[in-house]
Order: sequence, then structure tokens, then C-alpha cells
Amino acid sequence: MSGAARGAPPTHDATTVAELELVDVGRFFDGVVAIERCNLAINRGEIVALLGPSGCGKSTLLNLIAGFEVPDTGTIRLRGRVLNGVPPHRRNTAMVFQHYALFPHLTVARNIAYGIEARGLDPATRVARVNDMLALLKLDGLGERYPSQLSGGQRQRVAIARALAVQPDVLLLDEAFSALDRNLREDMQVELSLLLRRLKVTTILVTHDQREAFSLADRIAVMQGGRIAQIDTPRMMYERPSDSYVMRFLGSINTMNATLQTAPGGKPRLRLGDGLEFDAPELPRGIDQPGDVLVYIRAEDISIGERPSAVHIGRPATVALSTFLGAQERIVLTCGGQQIVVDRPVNGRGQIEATAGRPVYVEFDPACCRLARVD
Amino acid sequence: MSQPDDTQRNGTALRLYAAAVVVFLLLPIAVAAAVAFNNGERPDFPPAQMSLRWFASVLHSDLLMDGLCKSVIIAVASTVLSAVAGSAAAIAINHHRFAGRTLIQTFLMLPIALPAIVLGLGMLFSLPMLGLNVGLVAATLGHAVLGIPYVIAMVLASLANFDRSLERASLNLGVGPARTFFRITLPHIRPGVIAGAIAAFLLSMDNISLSLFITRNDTLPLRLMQHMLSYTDPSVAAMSVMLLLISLVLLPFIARTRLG
Amino acid sequence: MQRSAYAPWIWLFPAGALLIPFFLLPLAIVVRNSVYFDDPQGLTVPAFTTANYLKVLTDPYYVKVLSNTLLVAAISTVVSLLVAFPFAQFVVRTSDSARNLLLWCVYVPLYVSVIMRAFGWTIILADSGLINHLLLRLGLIDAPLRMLFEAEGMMVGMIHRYLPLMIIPLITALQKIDGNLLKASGNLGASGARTFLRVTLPMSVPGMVAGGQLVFAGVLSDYAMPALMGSTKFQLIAPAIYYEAITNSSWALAGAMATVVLGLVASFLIAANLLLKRLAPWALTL
Repeated sequence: MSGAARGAPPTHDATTVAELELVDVGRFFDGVVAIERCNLAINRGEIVALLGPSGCGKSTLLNLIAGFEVPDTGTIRLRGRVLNGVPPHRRNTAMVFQHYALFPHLTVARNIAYGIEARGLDPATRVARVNDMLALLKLDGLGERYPSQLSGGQRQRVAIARALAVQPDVLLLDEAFSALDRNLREDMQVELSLLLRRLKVTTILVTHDQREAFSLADRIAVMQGGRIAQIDTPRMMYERPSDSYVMRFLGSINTMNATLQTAPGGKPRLRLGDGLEFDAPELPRGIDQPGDVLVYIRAEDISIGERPSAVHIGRPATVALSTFLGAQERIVLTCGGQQIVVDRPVNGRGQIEATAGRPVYVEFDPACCRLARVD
Repeated sequence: MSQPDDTQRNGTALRLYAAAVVVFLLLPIAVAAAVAFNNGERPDFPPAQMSLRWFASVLHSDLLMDGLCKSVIIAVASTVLSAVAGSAAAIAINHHRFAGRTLIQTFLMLPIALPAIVLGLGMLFSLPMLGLNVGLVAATLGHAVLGIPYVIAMVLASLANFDRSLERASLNLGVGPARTFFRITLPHIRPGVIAGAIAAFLLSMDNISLSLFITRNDTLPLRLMQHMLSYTDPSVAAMSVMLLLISLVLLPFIARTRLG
Repeated sequence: MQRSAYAPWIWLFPAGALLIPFFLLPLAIVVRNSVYFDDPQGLTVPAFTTANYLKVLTDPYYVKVLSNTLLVAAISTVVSLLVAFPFAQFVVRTSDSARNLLLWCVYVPLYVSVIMRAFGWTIILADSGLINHLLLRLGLIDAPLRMLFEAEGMMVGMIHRYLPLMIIPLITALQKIDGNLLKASGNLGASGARTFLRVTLPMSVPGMVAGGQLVFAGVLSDYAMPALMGSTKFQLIAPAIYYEAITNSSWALAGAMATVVLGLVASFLIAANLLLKRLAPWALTL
């Protein structure tokens, strides 16, 4: 069961009750709004990522769900049960911490068993579950080691095993991959993704890494300044970012200065510095008056060609630098006094060579642009 | 900010308990300090009448002032020795990996762990072999030995968060090892050295177990002890208050560098 | 600055120059003298004899003194641990400004002259002192309690002297416990009490051992407290060593007593370290 409704958070009717619901949840302290009236509904077995830069409130949201912080407004419900006022140790919302927080004085097996022991399950079940977890997370034979004797990747597995062992209602991952180096990180993300889907564990993960969110999540919630800017499946989010903030977060983008004008006939038009004009894309909230705006477009949404294209908007430019990045080629051009970055696949069909100094045309589809006010 | 986590809060019972412990720790000091201001002959608490007469008496006591003088001389001299020896040893331990390092480090820290009275006895026995007599020099050397572990501990703590790449950068830019030490390393460990030196100084001023054997019973603590065993007047309290004022002035330095 | 293999030894030279002649040598001489013979005329003759050790370990008087001292040391260690632990826990959970004040309260007694502390206690514990005054006033007793110059009074003074040495290592150990571990414990379902028993307490064992070592070794060899507040009926070993060495000039006997004390302290320290290795093997890698 991956990916609910497209483009909007799933509404719940009488037949689908969300596993975890946050209704109008707010949190402020020291005069700062950490979370602003957040509404979120997550279905059972779904993996949702909270994505955003530091300070956007994603960790606060996770802490609210875990019970380490108390919301100032709103309700949190887990399986229909209100969590407000329930202390952390009664919530069944096991968390994998950023630096794992493994108990250094307990062996791997006892770490994994810790939550099970707290729940008072009988020894036979305890032993069985610990062994299951050791096998599931590929930790066989490491049960009697201490955390200090393990590698970073192994420690992460123990942290995950420990959380899964209690069979939580919701699994919380707090930047759980940031302490690993890149190759290991990507391998673990794939492995964890498969495991979580197999076990059908409802999961919320917090990350600032777009790739992590994309590779693991059924839906991504991009957060900004304490609110959810957009929540959608990875694909929809990429293809239809709701505003420039979301777009800026998801890839490398170019910024152009432009003036928003209303052409005769009422259609909004954009005029770039060098006089190039084109139809404006869908105007976001807050931009309705003519004036100066910023136009954002992704590096992979621009292409270069020898002649101006008939279909898309073209501007003359000169190639400054071309960098080979493996799967992609990154071309930096000067265009109208500005620098433009273009990412394109290596050896794509019909592509012209980007040698330094070569005059070319950059072209893009205006519908791929997003606008923002000049602040 | 609300704290839903019970494990992290201090309840009222614990608060009261902590207050009781603080009272226990400070009560004798407070009482002795108050008694020092007594006007009468007896150490009454609370003092019926207050005056500074016992402070004056102490300042006029040749015995006590001579003892103070000797103690300060010993303390200053031994502190200098401890500071130099301890700092150098800490550098050796921290910067270099050499055979027997752990053993040597343990050995250097032993004077704290082993009974000072045994050391005192041993020095009494062994001083003649080295051509020394009991007295100021012997006391200085003995106190220096006791102070070294404290300096080492404090300087090692300073070195623990010292980035050695600063030294490498200095060498890389052409500054030799000796100048690098004085310009880069030393300023950084200075707080540790000072903290250790202060600890060694205060311990030397208060030392009894060692001084019993290697002095002519003329250091201040020993003189005070003799006085206390023979008389019951508040002069011991007055002298102690004066020493306390010295401690209070020096203490913030230690607390700040050790725990900061 | 790994320029030469001699570098560390150059740095170690000043400390070595002090410790070898004025620490190692004295200790060795004490042990050596302990097997010499105390001539009744007051000279100590170089001859090999175990008579001194026999005396120390079998003569009822010396055995009593040793056992008194061990008893006081053991009680002091246990009591100071019990008193210190909740206090240390409180300090670690307090906010920074209050914490500094509390730490100051713990450090001040250490740097105040032991004479002043003993003097204060004599005023508090005297027959006409604070405590008796209060108890009489409240009608809890009819006649003053004899505490001063009794073993009990000395114990109070002793514990007061060494309590900070138990508190400080405990605070250090408790501070080292990563707050995330406590959070994780709660997150996994452990109540506050369980978290304390399963996480906080085991992880503070290194601090308890360190504090125990400092207190036990200190009390065992303490001279000032028994001299200033002790009872003639309850003698401790440090004053006894002084008496034998200085008053009696029985250097060999004193040497034997000192060696026994040295042996006791060293054994205790080593045993504590071994215990730590056993109970908390993980602590040595932290």
C-alpha cells in the first residue's frame, strides 16, 4: 500500500481511519513558532518523510510524536487514541536516533531486548524476537558484542533492530543515515526500504537529504518555517513543485530576475532583463500584482542547442565550462550577463558538444518555471 | 517549557535533600568563621559579642606568623616545582607514544593515591642519605611531589581539547619546536597549569601528614594543630578565616578551568 | 612533535628528578627499614627480621588499631557513597547557574584548611555545642550526648572531610551519560524507575569506584582527623605510625606499620580496578 491520493494529503472518510493524525498541532517557545498549525495524516504501513533544512521544524514534529515535547495546540492521535498527555514511555513510538543512542554498557542482544524487557514479555518470546531481529538486520553472531566494538553501519542496524523489536505503532527515524558515509548510506536506505515495506511498518523519517527522502518515502512532506509546504509522492513533488521553496529544495536551480506584467488580453507575461518575453507560468499565491519577481528553473529543465527552438523559449548564451560528473554533464554558461547551470545526461541523443567559448542557445519550457517575490 | 519526561526532573524531596547536604558541607566552616569574631575567651557560637580581637591576636603571634611565613615559602616554591614538572610530564604523556606510557602515567599519579604518611616516614628515613635535613627544603621537595599529579591532571584536561594541528601549522610555517611550544602550546594549556598550580598551592598550605615528618613542626597547619590541642580560644578560627579568604579568591580559577 | 625518540624522556625529566629520589626512594626505604631491628636503646639496626611484621599483625594492640582503621574506612566509604549519589544526581539535573553554585559548595570544603573544619566540628559536637543545645532545647534528650572526642564524632568529621571526593567523581560519571540514552530508554517503554536502574545506575559504576578509591585510601591514612577529633579509646593507624616513629624512635616498627598500610591501600586500589573491569568492561573503552 504505497502512495495514497495524488497531490493532496489523504482525507479520511468513515472507511479509512489514518494510523497517525496530527490535527492543528502547534508548538512555540521563546517567542519562536517552531510548528505552525500542522495537519498531517499517515496511513498504516506508509513511509512518510519530513524533508527540510535545519530549523524548519521537522525534528520538533518528530519529538512531538514521540512525546519528548508537548504541543501547545492541537491533537495527536495514534490509532484513534489521543496521545496528548501520554508520557513518552507509554507511546509505542520507537525511535532511531541520529547517533543511535545505543546503551554502551549492554551487549547488542541486550540492547535489542531492552524495550521488550520493559514491556514485561516472557523470556521465551524475548529470546525469539531478539534472534529474529538479529537475523532480519543481518547481525547474526554479533549478539554478545558491545556497541563500542561495532562499526558505524552495524551500530545503525542495532539501533533499527532495537526499535523494531518492540513492534512499534509508528517507527520514527531521526536523521538516521546522516552519520554514515555515502555508499553505506545508500545501501542501507535500499535495505531498510525493502524491510519496512515487507514488515508493513508505519514510518516517519526526518531528513535534510533529498535523495534519502526520495529513495525511502511513499510520500514526502517538505517543511518550511514550521509548516508543511507541500506533501506529495516523490514523483508528483518533483514534477509539480507547488512553489519555489519546494523546487529550490529538490535540485539545483537557476534564478533569473524578471518583471511581471499584464499583457493586453489580461494574460500575465514575464519580461527578462534582456527583453525576452514569455507567458508566465501559473502564478503562485501572493503574486498577483505586476512588479519585480524571481524566476526559478531547474538545471535539468534547460537544454542547449545550436539554433533557437521553435517550441520553447530560447536565449543566446556562451559556454563557460563543462564538467563531467559521471552520469551527468554539468554545463555552466553565461547568458545575458548571468550565470546559468544546465545538467544533462552524458551522450544524450542529438546533443551538441559543449566546448568552452561556444555560442549556443539555451531553451526551456516556461511551464517549468516557478516564481517568487523579490524579498 | 514543559517537561513530560519524569526521569529528568528534580522533585521537592530531592531538593530538600540537596539543601541538607549543602548545609552539612558548609556548616562547620560557617560556624568556625563566626566564632573567629568572638570577643570573649571561649569559642562561643553564636558569639555573644563580636570583635576583631582574635585576628589582631593572631597577627601579633610570632609563632603563627612565623608558621604562616614558612608555609607560604614552602607552598610557593613547591608549586613552582610541581607546575614545571607536571606540565612537562603532561606534554610527554599527551604528545608522545612511547613504551611504558601507561605505566609511567600511573606512576606519576601515585602520590595522590598512596598514603602521605607513608611518604612522610620514608622521606624522614631517606633524607639523610641525600644529605638533607628536615626543614624548609625537604618540605618543599615533598610538597612538590604531592602536587605533581594535580598539575598533570589539569594540564592533560587542557590538552584534551587542544588541536595538535595548530602545532603542525606552526611548524609548517617555519617556526621551530621550542618557539612553537611557547607561542602556541603554552598559551593554550595555561589555564590547566594555573588550575593545577593553585590546587597544589592550597594543598601545600594545608598539608599535615607529610609535614609532620619532614619539618620541625613549624609550618602553619602544624602550629595551628598544636595550638588547638592545647588551647580552646578562637585564634585558630581567626587564622583559618584568613586562610579561607585566600582560598576563596583562588577557587574560582580552579572551578572554571576544570569544569568549564 | 615527534622529532626524536628521546623527546618524551626529556619532558619527563623534571618529574622524574623529583619523584625518583623523593617518592620512589622513600617508599623503598620504608619497606627496607621494616625488616630492620629496633634496638631497645632507640637505634634501628640493619638486620633482617620479621619481628616487626609479626608484631603489627598479631599483637592485639596493633591488630585493634588496624581493624579500627579499616572499619572507619569502610563505613566512611559506604556512607559517603549513599549520601553522595542522590546529591550528585540532583546536581547533574540542575540548570547551569544553580549547578555552578552547588559545585562551589562541594569544592570549598576541599580547599578550606582541615584544621578549620575540625575546629568547626568541635564547636558543633561539643557537650555544650550546637547539636546538644538543639536536642536539649527540643527536649529529645536529658543530658548532653558525648560526641566530641569519641569515635562517632570523629566519623562525622571524617565523612565531612572526604564526602566531596565521592561527590565529584560521581558528578563526572553522571554527566557523561548521554541524555539521548535516557530519552531512548523512555522511548523504548522504560519507566523512570527502570531507566534509573538499567541505565543510570550501571553507567555510574566507574564514578562510584573512583570515589570509593579516593575515600577509602584517604580515610585509611588520615592523620589529622584522629589527632584533632579522635578518641584515645579508638586509635587509628596514622597517629600510631607517627608515635612509633617520632616519639618512640622505633623506625623499623613504624616502617612495618607503614608498609602494611601501603599494602592495604594498594590492594584496595587494585581490587577496585579489577572489580571495575568485571562489572563494567564497557567503561574502559569509553
